[in-house]
Amino acid sequence: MVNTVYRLLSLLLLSCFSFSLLLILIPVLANTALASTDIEKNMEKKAVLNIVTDKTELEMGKFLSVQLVYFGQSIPEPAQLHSWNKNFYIEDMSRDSENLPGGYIKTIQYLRLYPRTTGIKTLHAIAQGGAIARPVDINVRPLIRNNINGAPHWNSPPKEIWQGETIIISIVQNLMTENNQVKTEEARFPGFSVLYSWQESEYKNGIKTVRVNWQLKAQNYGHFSLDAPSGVQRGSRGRWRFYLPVINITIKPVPAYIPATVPVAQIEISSKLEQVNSCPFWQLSIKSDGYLGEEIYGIRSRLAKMAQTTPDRVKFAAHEQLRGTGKQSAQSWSVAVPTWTIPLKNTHISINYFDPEQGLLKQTQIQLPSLWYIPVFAQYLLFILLLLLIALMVFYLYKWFKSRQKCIAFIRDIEVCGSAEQLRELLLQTSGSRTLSEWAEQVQDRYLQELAQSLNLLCFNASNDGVTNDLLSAIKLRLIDYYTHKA
Amino acid sequence: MFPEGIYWYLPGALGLILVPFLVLLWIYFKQRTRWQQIADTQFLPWLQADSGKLKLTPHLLFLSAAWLMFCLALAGPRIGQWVPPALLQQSSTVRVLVDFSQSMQAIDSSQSRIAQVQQQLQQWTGVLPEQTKVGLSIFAGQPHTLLIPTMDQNLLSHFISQLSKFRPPTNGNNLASALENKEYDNSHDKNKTTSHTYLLLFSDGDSGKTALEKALKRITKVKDNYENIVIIGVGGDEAVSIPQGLNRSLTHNGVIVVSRRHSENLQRLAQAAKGKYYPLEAVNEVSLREILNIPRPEIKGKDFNQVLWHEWFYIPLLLGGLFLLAALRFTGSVSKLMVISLILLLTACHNNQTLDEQINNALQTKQYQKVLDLTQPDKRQLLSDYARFARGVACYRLKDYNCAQQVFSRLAWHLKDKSLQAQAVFNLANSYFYLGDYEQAEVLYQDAARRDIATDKTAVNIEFAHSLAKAIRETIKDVEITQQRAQWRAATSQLTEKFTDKVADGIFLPSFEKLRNNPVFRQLSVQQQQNLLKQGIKFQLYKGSSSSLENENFWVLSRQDVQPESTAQLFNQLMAYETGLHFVPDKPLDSEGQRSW
Repeated sequence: MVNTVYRLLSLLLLSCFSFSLLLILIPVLANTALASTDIEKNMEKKAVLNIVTDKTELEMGKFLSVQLVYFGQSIPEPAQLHSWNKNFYIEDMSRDSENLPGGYIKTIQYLRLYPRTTGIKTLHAIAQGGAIARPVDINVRPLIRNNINGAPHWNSPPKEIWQGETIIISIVQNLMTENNQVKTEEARFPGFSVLYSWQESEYKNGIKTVRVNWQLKAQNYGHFSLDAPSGVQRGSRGRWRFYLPVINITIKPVPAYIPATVPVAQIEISSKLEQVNSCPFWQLSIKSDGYLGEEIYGIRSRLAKMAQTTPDRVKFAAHEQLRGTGKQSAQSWSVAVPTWTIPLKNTHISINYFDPEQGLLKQTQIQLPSLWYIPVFAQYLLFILLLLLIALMVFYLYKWFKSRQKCIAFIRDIEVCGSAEQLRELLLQTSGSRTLSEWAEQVQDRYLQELAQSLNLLCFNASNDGVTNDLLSAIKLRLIDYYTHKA
Repeated sequence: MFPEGIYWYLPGALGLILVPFLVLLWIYFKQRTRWQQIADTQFLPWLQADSGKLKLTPHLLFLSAAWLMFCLALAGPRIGQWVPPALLQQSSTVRVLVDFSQSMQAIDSSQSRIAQVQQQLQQWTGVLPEQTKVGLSIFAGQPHTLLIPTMDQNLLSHFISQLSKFRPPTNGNNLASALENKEYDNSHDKNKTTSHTYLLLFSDGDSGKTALEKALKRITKVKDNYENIVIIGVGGDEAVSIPQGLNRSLTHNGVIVVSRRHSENLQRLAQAAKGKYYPLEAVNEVSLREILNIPRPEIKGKDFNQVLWHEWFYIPLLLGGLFLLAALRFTGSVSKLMVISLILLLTACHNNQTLDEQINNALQTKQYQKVLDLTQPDKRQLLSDYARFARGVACYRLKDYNCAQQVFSRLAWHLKDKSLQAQAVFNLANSYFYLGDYEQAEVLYQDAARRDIATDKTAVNIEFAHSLAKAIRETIKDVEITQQRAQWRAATSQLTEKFTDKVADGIFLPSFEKLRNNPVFRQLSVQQQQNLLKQGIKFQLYKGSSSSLENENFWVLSRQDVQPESTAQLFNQLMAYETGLHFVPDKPLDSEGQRSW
């Protein structure tokens, strides 16, 4: 009996225990059942995506091989990897598909990822064909050889420029060994046109640095992201390929009323005169480190107006010159000097340009060389006129000189006259008059008329005393004085 | 000597006008002989004094005028009311060929070169020479005949009114092919009735070397098919950019393409064709007949009785009577009074109001359409700066911001008056603002502020435009993010709801706090705010497109499915098929071997 009770009690305890265990386990089992149902469902959907990398740590300049392995019932669309773009340059290599038993398809997308910067970088979770791959962290180490960091970097790119402005952007890279070389791919920058690219190197603190430059012209305004082309540093110790982080540049619009052919750059202007087939031509040269493009607005019409000709006759040529700081563009304008050009003519030409530093429209002026340019017949005519003028001047000069000489001789004769009669004779002979009154009337001078009267009285005065002589001297003096002033 | 179309019943009567002069001459010589018989020539000035001099009194003037009018009335001026067609057998055919290469879209003054051609043709269509058929063809990469020669002026006017809307499907400057048109080749057909064909070519002459050489060779061959070839040069002498879409310029290999009128090329073509070249501004006041030297159909004397005439003799007759009355009955001070009254009457009839005053009145009374009509770009009258400014204001008030943008843009560049220039810059900024280009508007407001426009106007606008531009950028960025989210969601679509709910963040909502805090923005209604933002987004997404925003359909990539609603649209589709394309391109295609402008 006791055994039976004991057995019953044991059974009861066991039942209670089992029941309570069951109560505890049911939710767990239910979840497990659900999960297995989900897994079964997933297995039924056959979608699994994994990111498989060959390593989790790499050096700058090296690439990370990544496989996106997908299991599913169909081949999915290519995965959207834009979230990886900020930290890595993605090179899509190939895709493979494989049919598996049970109707599954295994798709592998092969990628190469080049890190843009150092540090811990995350390959973010991606979705494809109904599956999600978990993120993967990658450690990117700097590239150091011989204590030299060989990774390139942007060299202070501008953040904001003007539309039409020409800028130079550079990537600077230290060479890990002196014999290494740097090569970059052809660059394409949205919103810009590449005018010129060149490399230069320099030594600093015993390290050879290479600078890769691009001279760009901003075409349209807006906000643009520049992705540098890949650069390779290679040498005897290895080969490294780099991709830089994207930089953002804002291109501001130039005020819309400014014509498109007004240069957005500082300009240098010069002018000179050239002889072409014996005809003078004004030549105007404009240079700029910025891009000048086609004809600068306003020059053609102003030159045509200055030269009094049609705009078609103004010659234009554009050329470029390579310098250490890129391409320098230049324009040369040439127009025939019009005939009847004299130095007094206004030959100022004003040219508008947009100063990108100040953000203002400015005007600069230049004066074309002044010259005398008249037709040949006019030159001959002027020459003849000049000769005539000179001849006339010589003639009048001669006449004046002769009359002065005559006057001086006359004055001398007056001085040597000893008597009134001699003086009278002299005056009458010189003038060809018969009487002193006639002489006085000829000269038409009241002063001389009075002198003539005095002389007349003296001539017909018989006395030869001192008063007479004094009077004669006085008359002679007055005559000499008069004729001296006249000479 | 006589105005066009006037004939005379008795042309000999016009010689009677000279009779009084002959009489006077005879009287003069007779008197002179008589005086010479009386006295020696040297004494005549004392004898004659003022006796023989003719005084021009009003009385004499009226008498002379009366005589002139009577002679004119006697000659019988008349104009043909109806002329039998048989009398006007000789007809003329004018082939108008218009260059539609891309360079013709350049805007030199206030309108594109095509628009200038259109305006000139409209002017000529109003007064076509009699018995003249006019045909219309265009060419770009390929030639297209739009209208075969017709005398129907209404039809011609209709096509010309749509001229600026035609869009050839190919780019290029294929004048050589355009000149080779077998419809006009009557060199082998000797049996055709005497119909003279004239060629009128409108072009800016901006073609590549190869195209020009081909055109020169072709025109030399076909010149004998035409009675006369006239080339009209369109465009300015200064190189300007070629617009492509809204606020973009055509570029080639990264270089902005510029174009100007190449008169030397056009002159070479004219010389090769043994024709004439005129710049467009020189033919503005000249009739088509004079330009092409089309002979006037004459009605010969023997055919006068077959014609129905409008007789006009009564007008000079009435006038003569009036002048005679004035001469005979009213003399001295009364006739002087009549003359003065006549002058005053004529002066009063003449509309002393200048164009500027009319424009000012129209502006004051808000008749903006009238202002536009008064300031229509027309080379007959040079508009003053004020008139042009008023045109810009009228466009702005009528919410035609594209027009306002064009007008103020030119004014801001060309005006000498600094104050007016500053106002033009400010108004240009406003126009760009309403077109949705807030970045450009901001730059222009800053420019206006530097030009001493009141700070209270510019500061607020600068801030507003800046905020809007930033908001637009952020909105577009947010749209891109939303797209990425949507793609993510689509890629995860096979997962259960549970997982997708955990993973998806939902649609990214834009938020522009700075703009919301802007005081001006807050004053606008929700609808106004949305319109401003929509306009900005529309501009950002569609700048660079060659089509006008108004006609652009957001969701359709090609216009193939759009039914043509106008003649120009219909022809735009037909031209594509004519070229051999099996579709209608959204943008003209470049032709191989040809420069694209």
